[in-house]
Amino acid sequence: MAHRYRTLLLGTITFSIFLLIWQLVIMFSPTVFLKDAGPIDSILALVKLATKGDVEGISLFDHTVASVLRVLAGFSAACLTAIPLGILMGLRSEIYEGAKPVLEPLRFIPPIAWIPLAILLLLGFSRYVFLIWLGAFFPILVNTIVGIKAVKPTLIEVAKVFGAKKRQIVSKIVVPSSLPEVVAGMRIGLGIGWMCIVAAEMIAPEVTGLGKLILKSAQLFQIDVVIAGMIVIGILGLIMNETFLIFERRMFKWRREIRV
Amino acid sequence: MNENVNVKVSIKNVSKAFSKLQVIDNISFDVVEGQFVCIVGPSGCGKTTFLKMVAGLEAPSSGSILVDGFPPNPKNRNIGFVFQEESLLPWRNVYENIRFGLEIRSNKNRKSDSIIEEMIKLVGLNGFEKYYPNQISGGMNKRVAIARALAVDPSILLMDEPFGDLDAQTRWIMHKELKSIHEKLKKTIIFVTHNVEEAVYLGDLVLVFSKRPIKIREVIPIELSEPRDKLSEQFIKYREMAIGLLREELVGI
Repeated sequence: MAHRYRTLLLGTITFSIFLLIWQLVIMFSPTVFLKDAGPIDSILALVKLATKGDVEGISLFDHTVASVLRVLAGFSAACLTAIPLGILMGLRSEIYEGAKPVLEPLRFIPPIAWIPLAILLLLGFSRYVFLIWLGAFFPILVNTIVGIKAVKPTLIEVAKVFGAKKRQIVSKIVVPSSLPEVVAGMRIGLGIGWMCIVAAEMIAPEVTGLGKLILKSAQLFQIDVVIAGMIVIGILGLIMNETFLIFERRMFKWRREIRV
Repeated sequence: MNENVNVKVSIKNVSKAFSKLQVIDNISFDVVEGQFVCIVGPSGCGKTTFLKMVAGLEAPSSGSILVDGFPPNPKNRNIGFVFQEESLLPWRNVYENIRFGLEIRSNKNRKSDSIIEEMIKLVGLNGFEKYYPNQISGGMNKRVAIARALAVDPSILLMDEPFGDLDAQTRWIMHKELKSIHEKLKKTIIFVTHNVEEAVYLGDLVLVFSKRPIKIREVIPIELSEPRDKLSEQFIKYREMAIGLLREELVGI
């Protein structure tokens, strides 16, 4: 319990110092644009955004829902494609080896580099789904492959000794044993997807989305609104990550170590 | 003919080679139903390979292995195997681990619950059903592995240095319990170890394997009154005899 209070106290101190530095930067900044963008101004802007909406009257809620829905759609698409493919590639290394010359170079193209092409080729919602899918796909795929390949050979022999069929070995040994890796990959994929969405929304023409909100506000020099939007983006990302971590701890309590 | 009825495992002229490496060189022996056979041999000589062949996980290069008169095949014969390394499924609790073999055998009927209960009682794990492998001790892990192997009512129980990584005290307790399980269930057991004392304490018969390629160096029937006393003169005599044979093998390495 003492440890808990200590952590809480330390956290409060760090956070206060952060707010102080923020305020100091605003006060001593030579730029005139920043003068209304202190912590208190930003919180007020956040309240105003939530209650009255932005300059165009679009509420914070609408912006948030638009971004979250796009991310969830793209993320789901990534899970539905990357997990089965990862299982297949983890089980059959010839498929993985065969796909490598295509997958590996693609993996290192940042999703953001795809934005111009996505704008030219796709429209509306599908464009975002595609970009989020790109961002989330590879971490999930790679983690699934790693998880499948890391199955302890002894456990497979245990199943074989009981006369297990190939299908049973996959469903009762390989998949459950790789699940922690898969879920960790999903968490990383969701995080990357969340980063991509903000960038994609800034460039695409749609009027909703948190990325669009902060870009639009910056163009109008409403720095307090920009920061308010950034706060929302940060908090939502944090919530998604924490939700996954709680889920992982619950589900995989049989694991000795939980990585962050 | 009458003698044949009792033969549970028959090993005839079995050899095994991995490409050019000869691991097992023409060994033959029979295991009688209900017998507890211990195999000792130098570390790394191929004892595990031998046991996997009896389980049907590996095929001999030549010769024949018969379990109940048929070549071993886990798909149509119940075989119990206790592995040397940790082999419990870490995402399943004790109860679910013991159920694993029954699930594979699709014996998931009402009877399976009572079988699992019985196994838990047999290995003394009452109250630990809901625990995960990482929450219980190494000795308990081994008990679960034994219970899991026995739950399918195997026709033979194969054990590959199962107590190798336990501390001396826990191993001592496990020896006593395995012995009483054998008395209760009368299973045919082939138990591989490099620990001579363990072999003499447990086995009705101790086979001393040579260094690679494996030949049978000696067959020692153990005739000791039960319960065996590790400090008795006769026990020590058997032990020293087996150690002497093993040492001769080790000198050559």
